[in-house]
Amino acid sequence: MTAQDTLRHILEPYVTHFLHKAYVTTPKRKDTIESLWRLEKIILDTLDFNQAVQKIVDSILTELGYLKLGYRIVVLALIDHKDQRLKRISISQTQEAKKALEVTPVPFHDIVIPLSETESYCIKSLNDNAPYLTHDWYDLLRPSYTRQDAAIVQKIVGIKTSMIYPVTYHGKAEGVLIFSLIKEEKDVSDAEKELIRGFTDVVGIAVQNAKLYTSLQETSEQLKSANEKLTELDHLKDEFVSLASHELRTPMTAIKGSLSTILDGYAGDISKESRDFLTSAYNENDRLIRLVNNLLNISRIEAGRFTFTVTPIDLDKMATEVVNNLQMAAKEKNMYLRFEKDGPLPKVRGDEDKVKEVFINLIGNALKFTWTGGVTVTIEQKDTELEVRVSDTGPGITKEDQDLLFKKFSQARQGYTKQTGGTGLGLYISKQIIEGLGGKIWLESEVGKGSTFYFTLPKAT
Amino acid sequence: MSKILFIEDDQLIVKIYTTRLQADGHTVFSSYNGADGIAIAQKEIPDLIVCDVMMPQMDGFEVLKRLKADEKTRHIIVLMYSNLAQEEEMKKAKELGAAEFIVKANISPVELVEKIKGYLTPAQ
Repeated sequence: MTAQDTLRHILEPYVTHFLHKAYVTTPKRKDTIESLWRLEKIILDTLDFNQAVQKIVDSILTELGYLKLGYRIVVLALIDHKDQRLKRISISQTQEAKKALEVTPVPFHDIVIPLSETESYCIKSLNDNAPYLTHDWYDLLRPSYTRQDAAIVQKIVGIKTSMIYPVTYHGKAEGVLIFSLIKEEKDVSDAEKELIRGFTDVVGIAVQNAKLYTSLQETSEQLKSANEKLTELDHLKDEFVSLASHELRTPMTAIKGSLSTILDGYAGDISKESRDFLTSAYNENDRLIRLVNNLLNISRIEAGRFTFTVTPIDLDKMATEVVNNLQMAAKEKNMYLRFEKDGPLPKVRGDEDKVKEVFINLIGNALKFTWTGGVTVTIEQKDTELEVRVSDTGPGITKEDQDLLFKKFSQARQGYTKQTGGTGLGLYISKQIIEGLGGKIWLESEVGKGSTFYFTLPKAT
Repeated sequence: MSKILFIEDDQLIVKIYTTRLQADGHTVFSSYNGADGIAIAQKEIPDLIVCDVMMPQMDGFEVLKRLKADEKTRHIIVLMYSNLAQEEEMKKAKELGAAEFIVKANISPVELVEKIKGYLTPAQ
């Protein structure tokens, strides 16, 4: 649906109601109503402000043949609320109008009438919300024109009568339409006046409609450019985060490597106490690495640059690796960490690095929030997918908190206030990864009975 | 046993892996910049190269490109090894002919050594 359609959709019931009301209160002949509908359609179909105001002044002359009835110039003037003036907006494209524009001593758009000029028939029409009629253009053009200029121009153009009709919106006059004729007042029929009256009602809506649409367009242009700037900023932020994470991960890599060298016995014997401390340091450093990875992922997700490289991956091997790597963290808390499976497993479709992060996040969480017992990782083969389960013997999660867990920056509140850190990003990222790869992720938990996190990935074919 | 080359400007990392791989009986070469690394690769023809990305003067991608453009070194298994590891870099490494892109912080020395062994075993 285009913006134009949307706007029409919103406005049409109102317009219909408005016109309906107008017809009911002032009975009109069938052909007047039909003519009005035609005009209304032409004008309301045009949403661009400049085009709409031009159609307003042209359509009654050309579409309804009022030119033949002696109508020669139609002018639309609207109130400029900021400057408290009535400004000329558009003028019909007729020979007489052309002539008037040639000889006018004041350019058309410079003909402005202060609202305080109460002697002007235009202002009178606005203030009284009623039509006015004059044979003297000075009544319409003062104070922009002198009485003499007005008389000269009117004579050259050959106008005998001008009728001023207020253009209203929500019952308030917002401008006037000026109809100038080469015939006398007595030759203007009631039917003509009736149609003009109805027409000016439509114009009120058309003008608002067009103003609204044009400002909507301007706003949407502004939004578009603001959005472009934001996208650019997001991109810059993403690049910054990428470089910052490189700088953060480099010393962490050195710490990890050095501690491993000592713990794996490549730097001589160490006491049990030293080993325990160094193990803690190693685990904490790994936690820092995971935190940086998660921040990096969030930044990628928000910059819309989170993409997947999908290949057949071996979950069995991956789970074994991650479980081996986190063994130290489990031992530190005197807990078990096991991996169980039933026979050989087929490969799944996934992104090697990202699925590994899901394993690390889920197992890391389970270890973090469990204090006695341990964590069991199970992989089971289903029809078209593999199901991974990470079960812990932790405190469990309330139903209320379960709903929050996969949202950004959220953690279950109850019981974890001081004992655990973390950003609450891991599960949110895991959900983005698993769902992005066509799998499902969920949890089952009962307070006091531990939690099980599940995810599935489709088998590779 | 195999010949392994580290092209890596972080001397501590080089030391950590040299210790382990030598203990396993491998011959380890190392260079702290890309140009030297390429020269050693051409002279020694190692079985496997671990190559950093962000290095002074010549980055790891350029090193990889040159190794793969040279008839003599084209066949050598290259593992790109960096902490600057976005999808873009990983994709680029694969396109240029790297066997794998490894995120430094995410792999322990034990794992990387296992990985290296995995690449070397079928060739022997």
